[in-house]
Amino acid sequence: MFATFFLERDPMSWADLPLAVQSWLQNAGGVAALAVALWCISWTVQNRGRVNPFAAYPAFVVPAALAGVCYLIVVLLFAGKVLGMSFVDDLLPTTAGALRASAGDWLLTLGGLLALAAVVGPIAHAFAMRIRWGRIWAIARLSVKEAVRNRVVLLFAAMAIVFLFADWFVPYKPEDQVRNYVRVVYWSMTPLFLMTASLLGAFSIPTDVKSQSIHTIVTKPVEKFEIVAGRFLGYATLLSVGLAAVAGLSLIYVVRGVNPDAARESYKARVPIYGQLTFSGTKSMYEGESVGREWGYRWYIGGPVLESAKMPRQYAIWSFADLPRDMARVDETSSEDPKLRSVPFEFTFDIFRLNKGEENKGIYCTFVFMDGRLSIPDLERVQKAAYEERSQLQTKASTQIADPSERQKRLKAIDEELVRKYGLFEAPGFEVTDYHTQTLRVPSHLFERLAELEKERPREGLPGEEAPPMMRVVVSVDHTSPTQMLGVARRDLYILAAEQPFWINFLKGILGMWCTVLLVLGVAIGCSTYLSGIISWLCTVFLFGAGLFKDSIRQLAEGQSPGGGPLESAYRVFTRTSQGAPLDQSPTASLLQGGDDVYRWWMRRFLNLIPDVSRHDLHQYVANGFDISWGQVLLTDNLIPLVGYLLPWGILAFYLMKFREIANPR
Amino acid sequence: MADQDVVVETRKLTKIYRDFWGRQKKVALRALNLKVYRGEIFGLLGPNGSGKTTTIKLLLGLLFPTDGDALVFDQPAAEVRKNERIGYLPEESYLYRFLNAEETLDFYGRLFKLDAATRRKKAAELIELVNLGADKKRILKEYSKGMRQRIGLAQALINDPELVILDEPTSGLDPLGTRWMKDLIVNLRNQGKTIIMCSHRLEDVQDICDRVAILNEGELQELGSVRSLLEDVQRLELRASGVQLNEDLRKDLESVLAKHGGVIEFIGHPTTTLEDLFLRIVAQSKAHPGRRYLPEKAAAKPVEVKDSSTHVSR
Repeated sequence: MFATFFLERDPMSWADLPLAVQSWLQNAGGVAALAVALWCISWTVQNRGRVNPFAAYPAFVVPAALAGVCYLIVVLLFAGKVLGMSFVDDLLPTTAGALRASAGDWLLTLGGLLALAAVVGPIAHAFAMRIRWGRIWAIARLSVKEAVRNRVVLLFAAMAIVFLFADWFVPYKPEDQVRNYVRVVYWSMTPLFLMTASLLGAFSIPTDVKSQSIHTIVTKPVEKFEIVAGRFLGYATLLSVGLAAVAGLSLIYVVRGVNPDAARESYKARVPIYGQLTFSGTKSMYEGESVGREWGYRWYIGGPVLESAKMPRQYAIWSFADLPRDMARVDETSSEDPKLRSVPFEFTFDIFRLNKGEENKGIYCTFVFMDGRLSIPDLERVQKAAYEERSQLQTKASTQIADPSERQKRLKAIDEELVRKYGLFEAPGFEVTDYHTQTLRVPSHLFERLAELEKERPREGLPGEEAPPMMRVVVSVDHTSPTQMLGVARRDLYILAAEQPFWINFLKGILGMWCTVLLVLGVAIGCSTYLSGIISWLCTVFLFGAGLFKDSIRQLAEGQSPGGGPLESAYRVFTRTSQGAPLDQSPTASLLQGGDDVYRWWMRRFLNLIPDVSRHDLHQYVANGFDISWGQVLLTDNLIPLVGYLLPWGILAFYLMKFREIANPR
Repeated sequence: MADQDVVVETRKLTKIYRDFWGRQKKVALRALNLKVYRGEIFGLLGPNGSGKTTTIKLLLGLLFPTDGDALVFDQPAAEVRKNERIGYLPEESYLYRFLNAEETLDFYGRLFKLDAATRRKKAAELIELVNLGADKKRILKEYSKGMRQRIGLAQALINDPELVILDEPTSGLDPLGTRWMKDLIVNLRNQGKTIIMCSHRLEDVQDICDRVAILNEGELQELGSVRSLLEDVQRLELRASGVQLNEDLRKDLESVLAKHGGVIEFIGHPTTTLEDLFLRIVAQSKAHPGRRYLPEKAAAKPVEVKDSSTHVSR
C-alpha cells in the first residue's frame, strides 16, 4: 500500500475569509477602476461637455468619482515615498501578511469597492427593472432542448466505456480497491464533463450570432444579458443533471462488492481534527531534518544516536489548541474490554531508512499524549517520574495481590491513576509501518483529566505569547531504531473525531467537480460574449490549463523561482552562472533584474485571471477516506471562491453583450 | 399626418461600418430622415447594399447608429422595452431548427411573458393562420423554405404587435405563398398595424405599399406614396369596354387627341399579369383535379382512361 492523504495547502477557513475578500476587492476593484477610467475618457472625448455626466448617470458617476479620489490618494502616497517623505512608509499598501491594515490598504480596498459599485450599479438596476427570470428560464429551457436534441447527452454515455473496461487496466490490490476505483471514476468524469462544458459554453452564443438566430431573440423584449444568463443556467442545469446521473452510476460501480481490506482503509469518511506541527531537537521549531527528497511535504526526525549522546533528542510535536468536550467512544473492535472508552488517533508516516533494517518490519516509536502546558524539558522529567512511580506501584501490586485477575485490574487502575496524576499517556515501542494508516487508542481518562485541568487552571501564555495548547502529541523514534528516520507532516497525525458514510462523501466530492464544471462553463460563456467560438474555447482551455499550474506561476510571479525571472535566467545561461550563485552587481544585471520586476508585476496581475482549479479537486479526500466538511471545504474553499471568480466574468459578460452590435459582422 | 401618428422616425441616421481598429470600411447609411405613420405599409426599396437592411437593423437595435437618431414609438431604438410592440420577420427565417412549430411559438411567447394558456391559444391561432396545422409537430429542420418563412411570420405576430417589420417577406415563397403573404400584410394593415417591409420584388411593393422610400448607396433617393411616385402626368391612360378595336375607332381617337395636342402611343387589348394567370390556373386545377394541359391535337382526341390517375385530361 502506498497511499496517504496529503494536502499541500490548507483549505480556506472562515478566519481566512476577511483577507480573501480584501484581496478580491483590491484585485477585481482595480480592474473595474481601470475599465471605468477608460470608459470615462472615451465618454468625455465623445460628448465633449455636451452632457452633464452627474445628471445623466448619477449612480455611476458618484462612486466612480469617489473611487478615483481613493486611488489618487494612494498614488500621492507613492509619490511621497519617491520624494523621500518617511512618514508615508507606514501608510503605504502592504503586500503580505494577515488582514492588510495600513491606510493605503484600506484606500485600495475602498477604491476597489467603489469602482465595483460603479460597474455593478447599472447591472443591479437592470436586474431590478428589466431582467426577468421568466425569460432567462425560457432561454435556459431552449439551451437544454438544443443540447438534448443535438444528442450532446450521448457524450455522458461515454462513461459506460469506463464502467465496462476500466477493470482491465486498474492495478488490483485488495486494500486499494476503493481508492483506485474512485480515482478512475473521477479522472474519467472530470475531462468528460469539462470538455462538454467548455464546448457548450464557448460555441453557443457565437453559433447563435453566426446563424442569426439571436436576431429573433434580441428583437423581442429581451435584455442581452438574459441570453447569457439563460445559456449559463440551461447548460448548468443540463450538466448538473448529467453529473448527478453519472455520479450515481459511478457510486454503484465503486461500491459493488467492496473488499474488506479496502473497506478498512478507505471505505469511510474520517472526520479528523488536526493539530499544528512543530519540532524539537532540530535546527528550527518549524523544520525537521531534510533527507534530500525533492518533494518537501514532509520533514524528518531521527532516532537517538547512541555515540553522540550530547545531541538533543528529536521530537515531532502536534499541538491541539482546543478539543471537543466529549470525543471518547467505545472501541467496538476491542476484544479486551468491550466497554473501554477511548479516543482514536490515526497516523500515516513515511520511513526513510539510513540502513537496510529488518525486512517487513517498521521502526519503533514512542507516542506521548500529554497536557499542553507541559514543555519538552518537562516531558522528560515527568516521563521519568511517572516511570519510576509506575514501577514501584506495579511491583507492590504484584507482590501484594495473588489473584491474577485482581492483579490485572490493579495494574490498570495504576495506569489510570498515573495518567490522571501526571496528565500524560505514553505508548512506547509502537511499530510504525511505512505509509500505512495506523490507529492508537488513547484512554478517555486522559481527556477527562485535561477537561478538569481546563477548569482548575485556565491556560495562559507568557506576556506576548499565545496560550499553550490543550494537548500535545509527541512522537520520537526509539533507541531500537537509531538510524532510521520518520517522515512527518502536519496532516499525518490526527484525532479521529467521527466516521461518516462513504457514499455521502463521494457525492460531496462530486460537488467539487460540479464547481469546476461551472467555472469552466462560466469562463467559456464569458469569453463567447465577445470572441468567436473557437477562440473562446481556446481561451477557456488556456485559462484552465494555467489554473492547473497556478502554484508554479505564483512562484514565478512572486520571485520565488530559483535563478530569477526570464531575463535573469537567460543572463545566467549566457554567462554560465549557476542558479544558486549571486549575480555580480553590474549595470547589465541590474537592468535585467529590473526588467524581471516589471515582468513579475504583470504576472501578478495575470495571476488574478487564472482560476484556482486545484482547490475544486476533492477526489483525494474521497479516495483516501477523509470527510469533506460542508463548511470549510465545500462552502469556504469551493463555493465562495467559485462565486468570487465568476462574478467579475459575469460583470464583464454583461457589458460586452450590452455594447455588442449583434448584427455587425466585424 | 399628425405628429402623434408617427411610429418610426429617423433623424440624420448614419451608419458607418468600421474594422476592429476603427478604420472606416463602408458608409452603409448616410443621414437618413424619414417618418413612418401609424396604419401604413411602408416599403424600403433599393439595390443590394443600398442600406435597406441596415436601416431595419438600426430600428431594431441590432446595430447602433454612428450618428443621428432612430426612434420607434418615440423611444430610442436601443431601448429594449419598445420591442414589446414590435414583430420582426428576418430575411431568412433564422429560427431554431431543432424545435417544432408549436415549441417555436411557445418559446417566443415566453419571451413576451405570455401565460401558458395564452401561449397555447395564440400558437394554435397562428399555426392555423399560416397554414401549418398539418406540420406543427415536425421540427423546423424538415421544413421547406416557404414553410420556414410562414412560421417566421407567425413568431413575428405572437405578441400581436403594433409595428411589423418584414425583411424580404416574400423571399422563398411560390406565387401562391406570395399572394397569401401580400393578402396577409394588407389584412394586418387593415387591422390598424403599421408595416415596414423591404423587398427586391418591386411588383410586391407596388401592389401593397402605401408609401415607399428608395435608397441607393446609403442615401435616400425618393420618398412618397406609391401612386404619386408612379404617376406619369405626361401620359394619359384610357380604359374602355364594350367596343372592339378597329380602324374607325383608332382614327376617331387620333382626331380627338390631335385636337387636344396629343398623339396615340399605344392602343390595344390589355394583358393580365402572369401572377394572375398562374393563380387562376392553380385555382382551376384545384377545382377540377386531374385536369392537365395537352397540345391541341391531343386535346381533340381524349386519352383513353386506363386507371384512376388524376393526370389525364377529361
